[in-house]
Amino acid sequence: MLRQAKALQYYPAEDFLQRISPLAKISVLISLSTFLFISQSVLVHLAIFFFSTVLFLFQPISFFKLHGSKVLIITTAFIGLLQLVFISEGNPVLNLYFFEITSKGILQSVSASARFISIILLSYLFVLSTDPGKFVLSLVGIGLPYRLGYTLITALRMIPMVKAEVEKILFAQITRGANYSPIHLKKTTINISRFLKVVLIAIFKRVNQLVISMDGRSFGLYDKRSTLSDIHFQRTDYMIIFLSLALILISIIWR
Amino acid sequence: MIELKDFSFCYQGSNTSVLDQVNLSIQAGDWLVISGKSGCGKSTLALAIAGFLGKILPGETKGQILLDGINIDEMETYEISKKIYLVQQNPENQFCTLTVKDEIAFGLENRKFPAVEIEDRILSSLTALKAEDLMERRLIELSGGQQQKIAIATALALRPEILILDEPTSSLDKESLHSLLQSLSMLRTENKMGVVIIEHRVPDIRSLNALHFEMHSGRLFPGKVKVLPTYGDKTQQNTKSSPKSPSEILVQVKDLKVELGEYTVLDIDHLELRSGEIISLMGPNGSGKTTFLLSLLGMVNSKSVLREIIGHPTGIRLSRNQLAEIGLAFQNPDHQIFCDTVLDEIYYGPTNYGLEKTESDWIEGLISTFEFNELQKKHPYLLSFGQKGRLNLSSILSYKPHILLLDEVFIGQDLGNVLLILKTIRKYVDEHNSAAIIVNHLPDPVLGYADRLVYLDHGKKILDSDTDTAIKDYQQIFQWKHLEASNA
Repeated sequence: MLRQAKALQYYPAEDFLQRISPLAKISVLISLSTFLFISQSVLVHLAIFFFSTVLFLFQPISFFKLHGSKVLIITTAFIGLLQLVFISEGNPVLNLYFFEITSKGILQSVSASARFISIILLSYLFVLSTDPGKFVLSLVGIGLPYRLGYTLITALRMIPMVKAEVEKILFAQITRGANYSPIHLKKTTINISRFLKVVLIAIFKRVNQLVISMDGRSFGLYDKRSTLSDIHFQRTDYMIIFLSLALILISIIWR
Repeated sequence: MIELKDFSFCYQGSNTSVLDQVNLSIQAGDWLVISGKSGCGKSTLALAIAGFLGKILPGETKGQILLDGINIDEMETYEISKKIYLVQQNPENQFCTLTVKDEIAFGLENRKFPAVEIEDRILSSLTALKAEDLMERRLIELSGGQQQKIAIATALALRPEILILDEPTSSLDKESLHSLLQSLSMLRTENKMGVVIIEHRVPDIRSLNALHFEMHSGRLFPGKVKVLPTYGDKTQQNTKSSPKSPSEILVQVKDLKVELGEYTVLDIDHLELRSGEIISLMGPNGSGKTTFLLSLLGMVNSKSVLREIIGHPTGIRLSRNQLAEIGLAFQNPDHQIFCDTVLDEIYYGPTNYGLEKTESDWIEGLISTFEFNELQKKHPYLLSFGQKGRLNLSSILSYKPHILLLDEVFIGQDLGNVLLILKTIRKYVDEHNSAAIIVNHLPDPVLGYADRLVYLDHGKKILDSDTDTAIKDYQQIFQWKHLEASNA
């Protein structure tokens, strides 16, 4: 229950990534991810890894302080290790007792690890630097129906609430002596079903009250609604979007 | 403006009428206070006036509700909402955006208000509740009381013709309540806004000069304002136990700190809870009371030099025996109901701990104390909010924990039940040499039963003394008398 690490969520700050429009950021994420998948060049993969690492250094949250960062590093290393162990093509570089490390194995190992961690870093950067509300408003701005947009926002709002609620429910149940020991399988199953029932009822109640609250504030009264904060695109945003689209195009042609 | 004519309502799947031939008329500028025991139908009446019954909440209706002469059955909910606005009991469940600003703007945006006016209304509604400092905050970071302020600010920004507030004061501190009453009075004068307040804490709102009704079993009757006992009441001072020494330290913390982004939510240098003691943990909304309880159990990200429950450091996995020593009640009773009948729920803890036979007399006593004799076979979810709260307490006391950690257990309780809970806790603590921390906003009755008052403000402990001394300090520090006088 104790969490010392920072959760992967949006943290308001004044860095340059937060000044870029969410749509520009998502286009960079999509284009670089596409490029990573299509390109076979290790140098390109390393360049994108270097780029995303530098970007991470310029924002206030350290990757190592994020929840699950250690698991990601271990997974990246494991992916690299698998390539080293199982790829036998190429020139032998090192002969160990059980397997041989080849030049192609090393290249594939670096490439696969760089691809994986780059996509993770870029996605993390997007989440850490993007206000979900503004992201949805941007999508509404380019034609997403606002009802659908608010479905996304309420879902985003529900996630941390339900998570906190789940912890409370579990703690309340455990202090009342609920047994979750795998040795007592029957009791554990009953307790899990009781726990899930409370969680589900809590969610349904929330949804019901949310509907009352939204309808009570004239949600859906008009086809369009005014907005407190319009998302304005800067010249930089247009440039980033243009470059991202160009990169996607280049990736496809290059393929 | 709105008129209920012989209106009755029965929820789908139930045979009992929650509202029974209610007749009520509310005109522009009218102020009504509706009180009554928990489960008597007050919240359902609020939903009826706001036009949700039979539409979003299915059930059988009889009689009529007329809004400006038109039957509300013939109107869409959003049309009704232009004139009537309901602030529900649980503020957290009403929010549909991520930030305070967006939440208050939500209704105004739906009605196509221009951005400049939206900005103005956000600021004025927050100012009215002295909550301007919350404007840039994210909703998830707010305390229960702060969330309640935002739910009310949302309503004030929309300036409805009739505003219905369902238990608006349950989580509000005295100062916030005072600000709310002032801004409501202003809106009454300036905008002729009608206000319906569903409330247990009637004495707190007596200054409103409102019509008072009481509900009993779904029916409305002209009401009489009851007076809450005060902490100076001689009869209550006798309820405290005589000091026993030396007593065992059950809970202690040193340098406990919780940070949320740039905000320090909690910074407690030192706190102890000894056996035989009841601590009333108070403080303004957002002062860190709930966070303190959660951090004590290791449920939030926190740092501390020392944090122990019965000599065992918390924040790491507690053993089954140690868990059995903790009786924990959260604000929302729905989060703590695990069984299909009231009786099973009360026996849940004792059965899990193997105490169901040895403690059966004690449990039967609890059933009787909290008047669950007739409700034993009923599903707990069919109980009222207040009854569920008392069921939570029974299901905790049933396994005789050593430490009670109770977070706002008085929400949804009428005066009689507040006193019943307090008496029961006091008796339990004295007889079992256990201890309790009660988070609350009710100094009047609670201080009469507690041994110590710990007052938090902005996450820091600014008062920690025995209640007799604290009452005096409390009045001086927070100008209690001034607030009382201006409310009266």
